[in-house]
Amino acid sequence: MIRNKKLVVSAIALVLIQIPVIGAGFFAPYDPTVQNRDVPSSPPTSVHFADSRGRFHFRPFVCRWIGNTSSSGYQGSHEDCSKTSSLRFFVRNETVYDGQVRKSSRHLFGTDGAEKLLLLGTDEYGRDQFSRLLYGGQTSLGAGLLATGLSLGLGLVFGCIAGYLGSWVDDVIMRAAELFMALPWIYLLFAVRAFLPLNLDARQAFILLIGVIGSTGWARPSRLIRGVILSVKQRAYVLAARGFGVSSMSIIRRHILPEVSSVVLTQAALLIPQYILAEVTFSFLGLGVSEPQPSWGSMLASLQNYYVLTAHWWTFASGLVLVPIFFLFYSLADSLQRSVQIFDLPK
Amino acid sequence: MISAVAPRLVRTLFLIFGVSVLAFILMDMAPGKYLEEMKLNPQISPNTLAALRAEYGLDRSLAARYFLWLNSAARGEFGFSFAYNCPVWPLLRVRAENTLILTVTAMLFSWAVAIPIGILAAARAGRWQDRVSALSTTFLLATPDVLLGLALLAFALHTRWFPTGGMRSLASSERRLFSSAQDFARHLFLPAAALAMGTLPTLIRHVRSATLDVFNSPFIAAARGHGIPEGRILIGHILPAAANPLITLLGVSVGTLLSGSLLVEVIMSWPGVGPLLLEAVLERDVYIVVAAIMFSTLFLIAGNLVADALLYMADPRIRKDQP
Amino acid sequence: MERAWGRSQPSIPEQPVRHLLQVCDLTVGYRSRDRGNVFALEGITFEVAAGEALGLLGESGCGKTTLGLAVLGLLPPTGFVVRGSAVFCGQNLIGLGDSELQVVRGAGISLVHQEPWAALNPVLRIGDQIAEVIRAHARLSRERAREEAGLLLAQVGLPRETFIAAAYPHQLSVGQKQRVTIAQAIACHPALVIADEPTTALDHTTQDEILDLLHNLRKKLRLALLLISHDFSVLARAVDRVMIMRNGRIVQRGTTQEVAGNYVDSYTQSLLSYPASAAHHQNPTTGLAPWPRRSNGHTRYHETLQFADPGHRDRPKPAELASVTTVGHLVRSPLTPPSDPIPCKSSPLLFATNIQKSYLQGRWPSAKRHRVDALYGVELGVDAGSSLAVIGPSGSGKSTLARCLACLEKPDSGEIWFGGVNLTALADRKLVPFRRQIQTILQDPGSSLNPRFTAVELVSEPLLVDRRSPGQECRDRAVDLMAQVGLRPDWGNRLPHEFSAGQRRRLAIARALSVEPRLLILDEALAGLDRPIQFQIVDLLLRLQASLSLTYLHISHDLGLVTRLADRVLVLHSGQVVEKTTARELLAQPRRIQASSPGNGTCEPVGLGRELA
Repeated sequence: MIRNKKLVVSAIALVLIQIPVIGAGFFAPYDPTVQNRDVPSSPPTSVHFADSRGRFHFRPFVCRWIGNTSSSGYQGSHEDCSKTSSLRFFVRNETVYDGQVRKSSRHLFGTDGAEKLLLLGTDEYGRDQFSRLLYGGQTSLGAGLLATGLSLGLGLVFGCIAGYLGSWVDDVIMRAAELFMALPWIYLLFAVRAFLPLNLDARQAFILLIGVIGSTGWARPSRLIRGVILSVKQRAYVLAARGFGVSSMSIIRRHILPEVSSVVLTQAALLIPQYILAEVTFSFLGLGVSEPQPSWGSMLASLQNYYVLTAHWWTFASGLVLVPIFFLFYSLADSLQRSVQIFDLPK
Repeated sequence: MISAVAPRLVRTLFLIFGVSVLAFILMDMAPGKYLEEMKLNPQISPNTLAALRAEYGLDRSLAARYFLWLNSAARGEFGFSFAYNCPVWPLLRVRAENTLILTVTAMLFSWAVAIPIGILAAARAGRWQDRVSALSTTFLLATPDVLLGLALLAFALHTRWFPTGGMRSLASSERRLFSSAQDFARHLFLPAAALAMGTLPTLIRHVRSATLDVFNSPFIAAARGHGIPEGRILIGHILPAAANPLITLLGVSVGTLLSGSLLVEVIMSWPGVGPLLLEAVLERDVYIVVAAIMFSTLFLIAGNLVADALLYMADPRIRKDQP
Repeated sequence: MERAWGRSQPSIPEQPVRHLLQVCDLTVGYRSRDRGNVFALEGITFEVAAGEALGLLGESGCGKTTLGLAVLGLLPPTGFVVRGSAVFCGQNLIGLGDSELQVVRGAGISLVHQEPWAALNPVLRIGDQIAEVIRAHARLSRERAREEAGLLLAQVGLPRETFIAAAYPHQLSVGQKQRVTIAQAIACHPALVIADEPTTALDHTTQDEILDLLHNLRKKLRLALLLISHDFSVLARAVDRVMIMRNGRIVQRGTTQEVAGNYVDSYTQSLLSYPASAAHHQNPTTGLAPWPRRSNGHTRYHETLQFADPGHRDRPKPAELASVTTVGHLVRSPLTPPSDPIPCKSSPLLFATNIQKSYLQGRWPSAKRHRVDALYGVELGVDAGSSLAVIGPSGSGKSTLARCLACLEKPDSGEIWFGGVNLTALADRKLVPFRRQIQTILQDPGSSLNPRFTAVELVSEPLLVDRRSPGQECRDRAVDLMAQVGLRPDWGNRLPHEFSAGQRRRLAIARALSVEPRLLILDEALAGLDRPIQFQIVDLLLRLQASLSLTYLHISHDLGLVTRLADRVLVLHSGQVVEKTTARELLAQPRRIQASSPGNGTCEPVGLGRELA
């Protein structure tokens, strides 16, 4: 069926995107925190097949970038093809600290010489954007996924309690949900973030971010789940099942859980992009994960400088990568909604 | 109607108070004692400090501080900003006005675009107009606000058609009314466009589905059966019937617009509540944070109330008492 | 009443021409994505003369509505006309453009819709909606059009004093809404009115009123009428000639008398059944309403009944029942529960006395709370192997009674004795085995069958829950049960929405039977089905009763069904029993029951509301 195809394609595409991010250690050619101060803010390195003498090389190569230092300071960089390095796959990279080899790891691709392949250029500190993109994906995507898990989990718990117990418990929980939904979402996030410490190390900030985003988002899922439970509870087939003497646990297991799980899945597909965006927004504004941990939001932050905005177009990469990811999530949510739709029986 | 409105008002008041208490408690838990930091600030005299302490009870209990804050709210001050060294309300008022202008303009923009496109997509459901609109709205939806704002800013910088920040040019107060209005409009255009584009996709989808529902309903088929021309059906029958879900959407979209406005204001340097709140959070300026949160809640609630009132007027099924 | 119209109107000649509308070989199809092209109408040919009334009879889904839509060019985008013509006053309507058809619609031929509540725009006032129709065909000012609308409303029986013109549709009853749609239809003085099931949604009294109204309007305005219905009694009252449609083709035509006497097959026969109120003869053996008799004196239904229902001869005859165990008898004698716990043949299986149940309306923290009496002082008894019917208007408490008897709710007071055991005295846990012996089949299997489960899963659910037998055995039993109710075993993996409405009822019956109940409560179980399907399920139920010795408690508002299914009848109104009788007496004097039921057409729940002090 057409709809299921769309669902499967989106799901597979999303998983494929996750792979380079999760395996960033392998897929990224360089360490995201290493700064190359001699080539700050340089555009992506061009890959050459033919060298200056016009000879065609089967293996592509990159040239060296040199900064144009002049008396007035740094003025961009240019290519110097006197020294070249070829592209290779499964390269072993050695990170040198203080003259000693500290780390040695294998990467998917890289160069065999000193010249670097900078697929997406560098930021103002000279760090390879491409590697930062992959590692930053770990932060942003991971935060989104985990925050969604947290908020759906909370929503499930509260929604189930409200739906089953009813009466005053239901009312209290729903009033609390109203309170949380009384604020526009970003203002609520800010309010909660505001009372938490500002200067944290990267790992603490990551967990904090997940906690903040996840715990403020429980209200809407819990209302939806409660609604589903209430409506299923009074359906005629549940009544009929009680007439057969089916126990409450069995009714929950057979009739109510399938409905709830379909709502939860659809909500997940809608919430994950929202929460990824929340993390990106926080990091963009300086309230999220701090340096040197890369995050897509903090990579975008440098664009607030007008010069960077107009001249360094490659910095947009971390924002542009969000578009296909969100697109896939939204089409996944669409096809999920349609496939779990119950056929309306005619009266 | 009074009997319907009164309980709502009571609940709303409870909600506002609840939010204020929550915000206050949250801010109180913030680490970093601003009082100590202020003591270190040489620009603030000990007398000012002592006066502040007395007025706002900065070294007393939470409850006492809350009531003192309520007091100052009644006075019209809503607390004291430690960073700006002045009461909060004058600061916030100006910013709040600007945010309101931006949000309302963006709302008008987005509805003005969404309604025709949504109706067109519904009228030509299944055909290429519908598919194109669906695809482009999904793409727009997938583009985050951050990116949209930055892209528009880059556009402004490249083409120089629009100013890139602020609300007025420097010399605007000296100009005549018309050109100063024009200047204001040019400054307003890009932020409003960025904000509108953020909410456009959801709006178009909802307009389309509401119109489609009405399109396919039996009473429209019956109206066609009576020989009423198509144009008259659209204006006289479809729009009034689709008004209910659309007005409800209006109430809901206020929240989304407010959320989006924060980011857009920061990126495009529009002097609204957003940048103020950001600063206050970074500098731990407690009372501004609380006041900004209250403002946003009030705005949201007011938007919902307006939508409910409109709904009451537009949909007779809601009015049960009057014939 | 002639009016001068601004726009052009198809001219209606003064003398009645032979044919006002002539449809020739009309064939209409629908494009469907998963089933290719489906033909809704094939080769339809008929004529309507000016001022004449023609009826179209057929079951739902046979294409009747499509005919009206096709003639006026109102087919949905998936519909298309394959061939044929519909000539109206010399002009072929098929293939005309929208703007030309607009002139005809409403002013030449107008359509009265099937569901009046859906045909009116909920956010516009009634008067405006009628005025709209007038102004679409004539250049009148707003005020004039509103005046005309007021006159029209008076014509259809809603005079100025009722203030209908300023009201909104949700404030009107169903009957009033139907009158409004009729007013819209005659607003521009058309020559032909196509009325699509105008009385289906109404109860009997309102039905009669609407039919009378149509009749009077026809005479006064010299209208031609094409009346579409699935209920022959409606057509018999209103039209002279009838066509019978089946699967998109016309299978028989003639005057109402001709058609009533000579049906060509059992299908037509089932369509032509009379409801009890129109019965003239009675069959003494079964006490049921008759089938139209063939000239040789036997009807095919009787043949089917005797051969397919061997237990039918063993059922207690109404005469026997009346003397020994009528409920009336029980009520008069002092209420003593049977002291012998082993039930004997003639003592009642189910016996309820003084049932009282009330509900609290209003949410938890609300200030005003009403106590509504759903049931008050209800008594009844059902003998083993017999059938009792409980009838009454909506809101009379029938469903509440069903729930109390099925042990799904506890009555506030009173006793329910089942097989000699007092159910009301038992704790909840002990009730479980008794609950399984009393099964309920509900009105809307659409929601009583979980739409995600397959047929086999649905039917075997009660068995699986019991955990007495392994899974495979339960599933085999489920397949057997499906066969017993007339469903093919290889349909076991289908989902509920893939079955027709009648088949879903059979599924519900199979599921109820899986626990081997002794008493089956059918709560409006046959509502909403076409007559032929209803009778098939009635047959099934009677067969099952005989073979499995079941006892039935029927709850219904349909007198025609009740007299077929049940021996004895209890009439409930506003939570109280107002009459206990047998099916025979009910047939003889049905008007008495209707006279005691409340007003016309309003479907609001009725209850004795008393405010909590």
